[in-house]
Amino acid sequence: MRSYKALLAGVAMFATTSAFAETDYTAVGFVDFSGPFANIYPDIQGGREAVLAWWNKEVGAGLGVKISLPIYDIRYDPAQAASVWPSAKAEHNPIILYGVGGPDAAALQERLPDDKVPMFMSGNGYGYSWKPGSWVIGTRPTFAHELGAFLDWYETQLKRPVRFALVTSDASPGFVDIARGLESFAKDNPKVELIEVIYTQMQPADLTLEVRRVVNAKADIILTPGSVAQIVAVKRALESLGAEIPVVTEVHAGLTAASGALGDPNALNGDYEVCACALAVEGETPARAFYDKLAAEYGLKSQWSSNTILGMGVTLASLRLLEKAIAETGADKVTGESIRNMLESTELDPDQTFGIYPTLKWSAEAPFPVTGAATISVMKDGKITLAAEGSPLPAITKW
Amino acid sequence: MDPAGRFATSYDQDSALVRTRAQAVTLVLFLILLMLGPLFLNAKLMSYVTLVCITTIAVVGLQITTGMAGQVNLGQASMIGVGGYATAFLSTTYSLPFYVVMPIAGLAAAAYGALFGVSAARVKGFYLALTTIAAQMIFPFVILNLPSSWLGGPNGLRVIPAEIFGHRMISDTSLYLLCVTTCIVMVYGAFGLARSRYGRAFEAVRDDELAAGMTGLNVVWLKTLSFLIGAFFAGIAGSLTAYQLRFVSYDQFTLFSSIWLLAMVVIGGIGSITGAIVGAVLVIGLQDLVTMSAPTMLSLAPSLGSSFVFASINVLLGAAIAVVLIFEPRGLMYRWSALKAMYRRWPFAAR
Repeated sequence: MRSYKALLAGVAMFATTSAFAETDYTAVGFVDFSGPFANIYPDIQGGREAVLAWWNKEVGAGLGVKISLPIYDIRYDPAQAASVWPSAKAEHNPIILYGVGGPDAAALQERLPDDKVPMFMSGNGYGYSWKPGSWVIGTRPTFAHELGAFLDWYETQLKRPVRFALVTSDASPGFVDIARGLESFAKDNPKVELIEVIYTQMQPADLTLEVRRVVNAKADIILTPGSVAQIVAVKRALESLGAEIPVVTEVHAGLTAASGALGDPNALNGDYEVCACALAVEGETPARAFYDKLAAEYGLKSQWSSNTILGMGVTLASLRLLEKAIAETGADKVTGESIRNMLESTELDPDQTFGIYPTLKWSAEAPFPVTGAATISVMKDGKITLAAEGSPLPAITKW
Repeated sequence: MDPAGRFATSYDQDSALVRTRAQAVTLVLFLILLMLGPLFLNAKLMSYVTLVCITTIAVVGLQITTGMAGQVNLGQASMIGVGGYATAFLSTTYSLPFYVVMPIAGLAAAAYGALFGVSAARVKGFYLALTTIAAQMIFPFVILNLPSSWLGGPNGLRVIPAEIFGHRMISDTSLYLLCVTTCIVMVYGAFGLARSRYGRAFEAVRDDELAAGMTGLNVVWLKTLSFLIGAFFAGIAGSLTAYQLRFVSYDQFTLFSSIWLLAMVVIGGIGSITGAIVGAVLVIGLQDLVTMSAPTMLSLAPSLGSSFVFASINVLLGAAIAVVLIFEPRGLMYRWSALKAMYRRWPFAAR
């Protein structure tokens, strides 16, 4: 009898340990805490870490998988990214890499297919990365798609073609790409007219002369997706010219940051922000509810901002692909390649990302979504409120 | 200063690069260790040495232009960029092997550098610095405004990997060996140049160009030549960068990079080839140390927060460099030489 009990205890112990056997994997995160995006990375990284903590406890534990996230500061420098990555890869054998933007994409895009590690980006896709087989995976479409969705929506508000100008920079290829993309969008779209592309510095001192041309050309809207400094320069120029033309911002340099830089919480009253993701608007949304849960239960300290949402979103999207890879290969056999293989066959519902993204769908042709919808917010009385949801992304000819 | 008891009895001995048997043995052992690095270095150290080798070539080139010939150059990164783009263009368009592409990339950068070297004949000091910044500004302008089918415009250019005997050099080990070998050849060439009549002529122009001209040296030509040679080194570094990343884009070669290269020259010691190497090793080493140690610090003190740890540790890096320059503005190689002389003269007084 005693030996029977001992056997039962042994089986129970074995069953228990088997059921809770955990496979540890690593996702490496690149950050920029000391480069040009040092102001937004605390929010993005906070979002990444909180989602990972939530996933490990509420999803990963059930699947027998735990993910850790060591981070490396690449200072927005391709040389630094190229130098850091080999050792990060050797030390952690990661299955996922979270990237920062242009520099690490440039430094690693050719070697990631050999390293078999997919790199997930929270920022926009670019025209020059719009090619098949990439391992640099975006969770948002190009700036041109997002801004195009805004212009299509704005046309329905004006009920006539929209005359718009773009302020951007040739300081980096990503910002030139916005102009190329919008030129392609405008060329095929009779509902919009591109008046002028203003190329300026990332930190311009004054844009009065340039904005005067745009005002004289009777622009309906000015797109300022580049930097907070550009938005500030445009707003000051509009003020000095006595013109009231709304500006449109993107989340990395959005309404909150720009109004903060202008020193007035309502400085961008009537101006817009657009993203093919949830925005940090006032009121109850699924994304806000998830944020509140992370803040209450998983130590999320980052403020409710679009950048926190981006960090949360990219982590969620990658982990959903991981879940699919686990179902496909088993919890202990997941590799970066098996996650990458899930990409083209996966369609993530908004529910799966707590409303952070519209339906996320990748294709063989593009490593980022080129279909879906954008969310538009507007600043009113110092508060960011929802202006439109589900504005469809336009089809744009590849440039 | 030579060790006690070592006296040169011929010109060859006096100008020898390796002056004692001990130095020769040490150098050979060091080079053997360097070439055998992949056998005992981990991935991090291999990528560190690879980056140091590439940067060293560019810094040594800048040392020739700025340290030896006294011509300020704030556009070295653009010349690296010219080498990188030449590599991408030649390797993808004409499928040339890397051992043909690299010298041509160096020559393309040299031609670009010589353009600004000519202007050095007319201006100097602060004005020359501004002229070389123009090299940095023109570079992206040209890339962006040429037809995209030529140099890719904002899209950048892919690079066909270097290949030798049918082996694609894409692994960390093969890139390490390529960069180390090239670096050894280039540094040897730089030492040879420093000891040659051109090296001495560069120093004469740097120290007093009026006097140099009075002795019959062609000052204008020498200034241009210093830019040409310095840019050739930059072009080779650019070519290696292109082969390492397999992608070039104009924003990889910024004014900020040029300033870092100049900082390496200053920290290592202006005018010394060894100083250029020391500057590159030290600055990149400190940068990497900062990057790699921050996650450990973060795990030891998570309450500090990742943004604080990363940002403050970079401030420490800047402070460390500033302290070095405050206490030894002539660079570390000067301090090393002074210490060596003091040791060799001991117990007699030394500076």
